[in-house]
Amino acid sequence: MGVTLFIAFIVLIILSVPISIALGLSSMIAVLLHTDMSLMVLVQKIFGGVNSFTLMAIPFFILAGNIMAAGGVSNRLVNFAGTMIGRLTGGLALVSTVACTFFGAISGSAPATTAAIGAVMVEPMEKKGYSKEFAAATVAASGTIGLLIPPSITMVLYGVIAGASIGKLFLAGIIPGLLMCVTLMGVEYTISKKRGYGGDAPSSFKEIFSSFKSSILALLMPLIILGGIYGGIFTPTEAAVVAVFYGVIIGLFAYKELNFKKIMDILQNSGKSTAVILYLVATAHIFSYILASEQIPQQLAQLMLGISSNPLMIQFMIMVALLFAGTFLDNAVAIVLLTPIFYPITVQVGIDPIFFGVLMVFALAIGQVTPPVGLCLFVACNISKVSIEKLSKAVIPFLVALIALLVVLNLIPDVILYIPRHAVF
Amino acid sequence: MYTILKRINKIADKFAKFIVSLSFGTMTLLIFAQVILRYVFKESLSWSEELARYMFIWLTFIGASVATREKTHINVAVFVNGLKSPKVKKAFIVLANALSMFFLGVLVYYGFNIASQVLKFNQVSASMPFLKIGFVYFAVPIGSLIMFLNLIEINLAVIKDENEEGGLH
Repeated sequence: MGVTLFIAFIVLIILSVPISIALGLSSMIAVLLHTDMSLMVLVQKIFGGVNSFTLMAIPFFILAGNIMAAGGVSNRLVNFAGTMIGRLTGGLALVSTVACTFFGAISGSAPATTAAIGAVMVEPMEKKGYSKEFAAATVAASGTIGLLIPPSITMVLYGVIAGASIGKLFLAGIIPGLLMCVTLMGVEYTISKKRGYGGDAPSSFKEIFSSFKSSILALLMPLIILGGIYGGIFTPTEAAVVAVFYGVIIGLFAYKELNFKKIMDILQNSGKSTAVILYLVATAHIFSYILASEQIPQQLAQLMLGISSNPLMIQFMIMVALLFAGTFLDNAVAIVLLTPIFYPITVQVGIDPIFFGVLMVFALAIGQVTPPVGLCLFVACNISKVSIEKLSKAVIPFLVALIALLVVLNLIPDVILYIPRHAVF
Repeated sequence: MYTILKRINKIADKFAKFIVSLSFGTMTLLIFAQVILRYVFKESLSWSEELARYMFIWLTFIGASVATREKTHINVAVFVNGLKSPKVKKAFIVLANALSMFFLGVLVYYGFNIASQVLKFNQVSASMPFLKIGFVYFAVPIGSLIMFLNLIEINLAVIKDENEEGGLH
């Protein structure tokens, strides 16, 4: 039955059937050929897949991010980062990365972060004499920080599927996200120094203060979300809704870049993107039900334990698989497809679920900028009009640095687990 | 026939988009009201969370039909796009859509079955006794039906060659 399931799934994917339908249809084929179970069960599973209050955090975080992006937040974040570090060597590149880190704390998605900051930063970098490829690679790689810095849609998905605390996952993402920012800045600084990309004129204290003042409302949003969740004031789903209203209020009254019509358009567009992700979660629920009833994760665990019973070895084997999968699959797809397969294995060898969740999101974040199929690469190509071939080459130093960081995080769990362990609420 | 189908799909798409905005807007307001009432008025709503969850289910399945029409469902098109012969490519796309339609057809049939059964058993919501759970279940067959009808239109367009990229989501 397992063999039928996987063969059917792969054939459907090759035929270009949408992944969501391929998940449901391959399960249906497996059920029809190997059992006399009623197909009614499939309808119940697909329905049950999205009958969850926690999952509702996803549409609200998508909506909050889109409202903030349309409300004039990206410009202000870029200005603020610019007055602080714009004067350094490779200043504009560093600014892009820091702005992406700020923006990641508002938006839960990597391509959205690349799109928002890339739209503002790529042109100034070109004008300043940076190569187009380098500018595009910078915003593509920096966008991935958005997956680690809370809130993160990918982490919500992992939390729901693995039954892990979303609050703890968010906390655990902070340090790796910041390390990612520092690592990428290191790469940018080194390349800029070699190529002689200069910085801007230093800003006065007054300029720094005024740019800080105009972006403070945007910078406060993550504090409201995280503080609210850990202070026990609201659940992650409620925090996401509060973020939506916060974004609407500052977009309407403080920055004055939103109006009612714009908000209604954003609502409908965010609703459509939500449906694409959640329909996938719904059909994946059937798929993972078949996987579990056939004990496929357990069989895979036996196979991997046959190679080595060392948790670290298992961890590295899974990381390699994730990096590979991440190059071909969108991160939401990869999470809903692979968590039910890998999570039971990590439980069996005693790997902390929060630690593993962050590693998984990190590995898939790298997949967003791995050629040939990285979503952040496509977005950056689109903004900068650089061909995917050229961008693929320019992004290599960033990729190497991120993979090195992933290895370090694998070896030292305390880096990821420090905040969730020491946060006392 | 084709023109009638096109017209039906257009109306269904308007309905679906309306449902997307309505359910998303309502669930946002409901959860916000819940937070405000709890913290400002120390009063908790028993039904807001449940009702918002049902809206969310409608948003998912009806929104998925808009995504089918706008071809935004995620798929892997590299293999099909790599095909040299336009005829083979067209055949692949038509086949892929037909397979999707098989899946959706099953969801329509069994979905209506389940929804009407639940309706018959008169199962009601725990916090809102006036709301029958059967209505929530109808999201699956109705969304699937709209997707099914749109795929017929898309497939006919591919066969007629109105639009070469027709079936690629």
